[in-house]
Amino acid sequence: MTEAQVELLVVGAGPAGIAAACTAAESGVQVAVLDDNPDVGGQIWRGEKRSAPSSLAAPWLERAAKASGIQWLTGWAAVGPDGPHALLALPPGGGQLVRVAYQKLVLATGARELFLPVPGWTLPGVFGAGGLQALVKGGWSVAERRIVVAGSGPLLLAVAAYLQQTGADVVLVAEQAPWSKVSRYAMHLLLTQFAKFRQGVRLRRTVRSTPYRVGCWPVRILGREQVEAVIFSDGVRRFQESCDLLACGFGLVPNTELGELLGCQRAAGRLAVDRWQRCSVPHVYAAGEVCGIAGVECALVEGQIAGYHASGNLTAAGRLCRKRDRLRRFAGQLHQAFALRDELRSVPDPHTIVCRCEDVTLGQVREQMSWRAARLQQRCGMGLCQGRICGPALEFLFGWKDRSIRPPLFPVPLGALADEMSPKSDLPSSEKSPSASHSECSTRRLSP
Amino acid sequence: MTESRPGLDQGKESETVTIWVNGRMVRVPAGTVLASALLHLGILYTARSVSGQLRGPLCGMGICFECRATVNGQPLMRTCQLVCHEGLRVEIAQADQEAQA
Amino acid sequence: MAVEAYDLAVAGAGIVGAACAALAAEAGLRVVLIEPADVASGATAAGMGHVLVMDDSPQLLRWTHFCRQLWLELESELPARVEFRRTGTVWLAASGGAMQQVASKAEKLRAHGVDCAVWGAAELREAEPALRADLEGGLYVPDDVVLYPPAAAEYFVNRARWFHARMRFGQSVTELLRGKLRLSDGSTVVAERCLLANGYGVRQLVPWLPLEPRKGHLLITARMTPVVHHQLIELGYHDSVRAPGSHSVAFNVQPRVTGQLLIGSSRQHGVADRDVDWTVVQRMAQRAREFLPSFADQPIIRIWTGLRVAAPDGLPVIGYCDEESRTLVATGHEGLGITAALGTAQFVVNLLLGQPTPLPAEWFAPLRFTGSASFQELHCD
Ligand SMILES: Cc1cc2nc3c(=O)[nH]c(=O)nc-3n(C[C@H](O)[C@H](O)[C@H](O)COP(=O)(O)OP(=O)(O)OC[C@H]3O[C@@H](n4cnc5c(N)ncnc54)[C@H](O)[C@@H]3O)c2cc1C
Ligand SMILES: Cc1cc2nc3c(=O)[nH]c(=O)nc-3n(C[C@H](O)[C@H](O)[C@H](O)COP(=O)(O)OP(=O)(O)OC[C@H]3O[C@@H](n4cnc5c(N)ncnc54)[C@H](O)[C@@H]3O)c2cc1C
Ligand code: FES
Repeated sequence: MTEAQVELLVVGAGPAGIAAACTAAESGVQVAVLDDNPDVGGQIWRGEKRSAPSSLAAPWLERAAKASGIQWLTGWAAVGPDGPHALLALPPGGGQLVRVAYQKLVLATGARELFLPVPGWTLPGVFGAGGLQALVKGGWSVAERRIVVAGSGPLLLAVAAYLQQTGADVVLVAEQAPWSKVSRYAMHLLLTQFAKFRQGVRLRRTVRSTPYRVGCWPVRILGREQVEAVIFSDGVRRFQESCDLLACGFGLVPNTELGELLGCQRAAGRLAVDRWQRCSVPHVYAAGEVCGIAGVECALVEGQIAGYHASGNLTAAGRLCRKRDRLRRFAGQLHQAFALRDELRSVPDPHTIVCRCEDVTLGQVREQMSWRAARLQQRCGMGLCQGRICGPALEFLFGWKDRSIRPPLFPVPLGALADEMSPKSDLPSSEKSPSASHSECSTRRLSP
Repeated sequence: MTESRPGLDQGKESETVTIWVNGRMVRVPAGTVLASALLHLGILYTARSVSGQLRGPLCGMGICFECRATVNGQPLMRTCQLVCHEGLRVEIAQADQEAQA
Repeated sequence: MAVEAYDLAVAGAGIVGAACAALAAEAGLRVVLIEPADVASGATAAGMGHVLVMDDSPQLLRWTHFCRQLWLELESELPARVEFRRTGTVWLAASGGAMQQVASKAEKLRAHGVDCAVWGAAELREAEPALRADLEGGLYVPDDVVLYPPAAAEYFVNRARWFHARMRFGQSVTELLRGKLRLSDGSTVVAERCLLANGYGVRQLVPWLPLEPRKGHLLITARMTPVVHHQLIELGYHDSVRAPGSHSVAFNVQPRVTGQLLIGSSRQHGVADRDVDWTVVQRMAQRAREFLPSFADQPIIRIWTGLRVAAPDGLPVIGYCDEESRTLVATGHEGLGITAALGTAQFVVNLLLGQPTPLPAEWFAPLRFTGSASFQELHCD
């Protein structure tokens, strides 16, 4: 174990983390940003620097590249707190642990997808919607593959459009929310957020050749060794869609685990924060999707508020609060529009695996009365992911909430835990920083 | 302490790196995510579940562990969170690879 | 409304309370089991599940031998989920002169009829090739058992139900009244006698009992091809457990049926918080790596802590804690509550029915502490 010290530690190099780091560093604070991903950019901007960055991403990536005093630690996983002013982190390769001591901490750990158990969902070829997008961004070409995109939320259209642009054959986008709600949301966008409305329309146009069906949801995934077709229901009829790959997600879940280990209070599944993005634990801030799903613009604003406040610039932080509040209100609309329907609770059958790590079925879990009982008696959530996949699903299915979080958040080799603490060392210097200038389009595609 | 941060060292279009998949040499574009590279090689599943089911990547973002493999001797590495670097060695269960070959 | 009256109200559905409820119900008593959380969610969820004979003191040796025997007799009735396996224990001779300790331990155990075998370096190597090569040998105790405590506790709860015991889950006992117990929802339960089997929580209801918490950490690996076959403990275990100062670590690993390896063990005397203490974890990991060098790369997927509850003399606290013989306690098992669950239940039922106890009742009687004020005063190291 080695030890390092920073003034401000940011966990998560997504939009919120980038914004927090830049604003703080520009005020002269010494910052380190730590992210489990090999790339800077979080869920939305990962891989962005390989292609031409979007108009929203470009200035931020540029700013991040220019800001001095930021160390970008990508491929580093925060595994848990060590006292009130330090985190233990596992650098790439996992050979040792580093204790990073901080004066202030920003949790910008973002969100993950919500996966709901559907019979057959464990078949290879079934991905999250954002999951498939990430793997394609990582260099997998899915050109000409027949892909069904299913689940819920605005992410579905974004993913479908992205996949289609890379040459995939998106055969269906299936949204579980009913037309009445989706259209009311579109109307609301048109009236209040014209830019977002236009963005939606543009996405829809991109996937014009693909049917966008609302009010239907997957009830069974077919295939022998990998996915071959998906059966959907609209509540009345069933229909089948053949495909090579399925991209399926039911919305997003905040990654609150690290905050919970630190003792930060949660409210409605997200980290609770005050006006200045402060958590209930002193010196700890949270920004972005970890405080609730509200989109990339809100993540950027919250990151800035946290960064400004942490560096003592209250005026600048204060100026952004109204914008944040407006964006949060808007997010409320989104949640209503894409609220999950009750029918999804009856999709899995007793044999459907709920906990993929330990292969625990719905039937086994249903006998239990609580999360803890399911964990203790059936090993549900006891595997490698620590219940991060089945936890939110069971919360949706049964309303079980008190999932226990235990360190380490990611597996740590025994030897890394055993290593003696060596004298304080500097964090690796950032020889390169995320840069928007690498616009030599998509070097990532693999040649066949 | 020095640190190489593969994700940020992306090279020019022509650059490739050599990785070893179960001892087989494969060249992939520099900067490719390992899980993506394996998928591209047609390896749709890398793990076997506790009850023996075949599993492949699900979340693509380091949460689910379904993309796990032994990388450079270290078991249970999440291949979706690793970028291919020169000489990287990945082992996936032999039987599984044969099935897919 | 007719008030239901019970012969026995048991507070706490850990493995001890659950076993007591099962045996008491089976003996024909009308039993109610009261538990605020889930079955086995206290120390029973945190512990290791090693059922073993310990020879720290002559009393403890007789006690644990008796307790283990009850488990062995129950083996055929336990469902597979309990993961009952006679893995045996190997006490490892790690330091110079340890083989002498092995010999004297063997002698002590044999004198009490406990089967055991002295292994030299070669036998040890053959049985546990993953261990580091320079160990001189060890003591093999074949009839020690490894099981999964939460499933065992649930088995006892189901067994209690089968014999008509009632369950009051979601409630805790907040007050002891005459012939009654007050629960956290304000209601009362009428019971002739009550048994406090609520672990460290006993202190709240019987404050004069000198009970000390001892925090312990455990680490667990991911699943892997099994390479360790017995529960392995370093022979210095006793010493390191009793070492002066508040914090001790010893090598103690357990193979689980899942292929996971459970790695212990630490003791922090008087510490009752549940936070993971990374310096303790570091020492445990070092110890494990010393004994199992090839395990350095094995991923640890989870770390947690639990509280052992100890009395100053190192013996459990089982029996009546009032002059009227209405309230019993069953706690203070330190690191042996899984081992002792059935023995404790047997002991309690014998007391309830006025029968002779398997071991002298005075040994464990809570009243042995009356008049004494605090743990520290009694603690004579
Ligand atoms: C899979 C997915 C795909 C998405 N795709 C789109 C899209 O195409 N278009 C769109 O508009 N929006 C998309 N979104 C929504 C978008 O992510 C958010 O609007 C925005 O990125 C939120 O930014 P953030 O900084 O809060 O979090 P994120 O961008 O999620 O960044 C959080 C970062 O924290 C890191 N992290 C978390 N925990 C730890 C830890 N313990 N140790 C180290 N690092 C950690 C993660 O690796 C991640 O990189 C997507 C979301 C997800 C989950
Ligand atoms: C790290 C560690 C390793 C261990 N390893 C072993 C081992 O290998 N072998 C072994 O034999 N032992 C081992 N032990 C010891 C063993 O776990 C305990 O002795 C045993 O679990 C105690 O069981 P219990 O039922 O007395 O207590 P608990 O399991 O703590 O149960 C007490 C129950 O009472 C409930 N409760 C609390 N307050 C109230 C109230 N007011 N009213 C009603 N109910 C209440 C709680 O919710 C809880 O469910 C270990 C312990 C630790 C910490
Ligand atoms: S695909 Fe989920 S962790 Fe890699």
